[in-house]
Amino acid sequence: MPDRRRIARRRPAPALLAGRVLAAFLGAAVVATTGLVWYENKQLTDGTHTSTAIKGVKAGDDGYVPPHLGNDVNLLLIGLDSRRDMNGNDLPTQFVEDALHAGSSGIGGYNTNVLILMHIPANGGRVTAYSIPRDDYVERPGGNADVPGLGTIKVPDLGMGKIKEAYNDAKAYAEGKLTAAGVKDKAKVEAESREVGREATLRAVQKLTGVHVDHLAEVNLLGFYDVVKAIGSIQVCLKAPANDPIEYGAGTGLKLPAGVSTIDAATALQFVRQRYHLPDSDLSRTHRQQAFLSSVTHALRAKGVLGDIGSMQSLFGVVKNDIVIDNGWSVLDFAQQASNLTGGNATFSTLPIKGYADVPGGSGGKTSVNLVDPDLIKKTVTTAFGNDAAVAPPPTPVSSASAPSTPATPSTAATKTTITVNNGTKTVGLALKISGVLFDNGIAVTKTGNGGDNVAHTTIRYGTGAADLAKQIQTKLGTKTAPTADKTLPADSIVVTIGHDYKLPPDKPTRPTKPTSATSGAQPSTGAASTPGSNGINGGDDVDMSSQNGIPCVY
Amino acid sequence: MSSAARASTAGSRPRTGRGPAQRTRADQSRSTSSRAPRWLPAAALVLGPALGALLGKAIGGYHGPVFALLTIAAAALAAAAATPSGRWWVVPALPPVAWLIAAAAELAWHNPPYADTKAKAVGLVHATTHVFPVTLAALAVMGLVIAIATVRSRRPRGRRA
Repeated sequence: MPDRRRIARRRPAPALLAGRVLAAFLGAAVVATTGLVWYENKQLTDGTHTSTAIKGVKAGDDGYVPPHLGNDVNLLLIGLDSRRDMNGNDLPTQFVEDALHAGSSGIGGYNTNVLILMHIPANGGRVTAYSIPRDDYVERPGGNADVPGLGTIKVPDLGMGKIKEAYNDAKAYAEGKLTAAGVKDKAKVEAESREVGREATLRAVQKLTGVHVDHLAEVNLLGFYDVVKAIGSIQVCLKAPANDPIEYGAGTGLKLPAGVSTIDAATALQFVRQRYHLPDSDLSRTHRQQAFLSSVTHALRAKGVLGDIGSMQSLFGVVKNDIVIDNGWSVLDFAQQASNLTGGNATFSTLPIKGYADVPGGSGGKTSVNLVDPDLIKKTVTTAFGNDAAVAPPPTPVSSASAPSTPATPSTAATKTTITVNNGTKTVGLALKISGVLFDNGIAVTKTGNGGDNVAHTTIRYGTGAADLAKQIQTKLGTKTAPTADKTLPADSIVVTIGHDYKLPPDKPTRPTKPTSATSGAQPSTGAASTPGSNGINGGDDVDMSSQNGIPCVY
Repeated sequence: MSSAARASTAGSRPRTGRGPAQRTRADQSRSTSSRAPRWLPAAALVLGPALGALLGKAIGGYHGPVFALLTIAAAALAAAAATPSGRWWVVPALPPVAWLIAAAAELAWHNPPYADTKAKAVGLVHATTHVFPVTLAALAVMGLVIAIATVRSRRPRGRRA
């Protein structure tokens, strides 16, 4: 009996035992849950290439801008026109030429063909983003760069030049220094010299815009491709049909109709890279890039990737080898901060230029650049980025041309009728712009082309069954001459030939600050500026991410 | 009083009616804890991380090394001061207590403050990411402390044998 009592006392009471089990279960559950969250979060960023370039631009450097007060985020998106991977190895030639349609691996160097400075207000207001045209002729300050294994190197002032080349030139300088110092590890040379390139780009961008860059994200050609490939496909919308044949080693081969198209990764790359056969060449290309970002965001949102850590992790797993982000970047924070961006509450603009000029440089002895007014650009950017007080309204009104209140829906008649717009003048891109005017009025043009150089009067000819639509086109364009029937044309077809008498409708105001006549800024020593009028060239219509259900239409 | 405190109190309560062998073993295993105040394990468990977050905030990071060190040290102290019975409560209590304090610190002190529920959820992910390695380390230290205490408590019996 005493033994049995002793045994009974040694065992904990059932309630106590249950309590212990419950406590152990709770503790284990918390450990397991926190561990899972930790693991998932870790997986999201592990393996991502990071950069210290943001902190590499130090006080005292020309181009240094002190961090702004408050918690807004200025993010610089860098699209690198490089056909090399992170280790400096050429991407497979066949892949570059056949899949990316990007020419050979020798093309492009390390030009930053995409520079988008994005401002994400802490107060949840509208995201404002500015594309910096790649050929903007700007100061490219030098500075001190800390290169591991080499110490601090003094990157010389790169002088005036295209902003896209700041990266390439500084990288080339650092690469030379590293090689001269006997660094043989190709991947190390690539990584360290790229850092110097990023710092040079940051200095040039900050010098030009007058705002501090808080975070950067760099993506190369392959990154663009992989993002869309990971998503599957995206939808884009064109105001005018695109036809960019590959000729003389240039062109992308893009061929898309006006309206919304669903495109794959390779076509998406063509979409963002096309610069010929566009109304405003590089400026139009910036709108393509803006529309691409909007379309990708739309696709991610539609597929439920945004806000789903698992899906984000999968996407990151695919693209992490192609992108570089700064080491202060938190993907989760960004996802939360950028909820307005992902919600479509964002406006993309292109920084204005004053005109074009030829300056010494390039393979042909001279190269074409965009002249800019640095004071005006600083004023434009700092005003827009500092205007976060109001949450709802964007700092710049959106042009109705790019962001009609309702999506431009081509009429039923238009969809079955072949509409060709020919440019009968020497004005470059006029047929495309006419297509845009018609598109904004709900009529999708099928084809554009040239119709001679010296057509005096605009004509509209139509085949059988297209009289009504031809009349509509005349009304929309406001031309004087009535459409005429042309039996030589196939049925259900219309040919519009634009003559010198046609005048495009005036641009609607897109920004509070329009470019003005030259006020300051370094000018090229040679080369004639072809400044088109005292107002210069604005960057074109803004691209509003909320327009057309997140698929803004561009040229 | 928290469950951990109750547990440690219960664990150190003298028990009557045991045989000489059990009493000796229990007393020996409580050699450290019997000298400690009954409230110490629970207090260490809560105050360690809390103090770590507070001091860390003053220094620069409420989830930084100060938080980690104090949490781990407090966990070791709690494990050492608890009775064998109390350890059943102290050890499982550490993860939720540490997480709650880290989460509260994150939501209370993050600059800028988290504005909405979605932002707060992101904040909780941050807190969790920071606290998990600390919790693991603290649990490992607790295990070590308990193992040492167990070995020490068995040594006299081994000698007698």
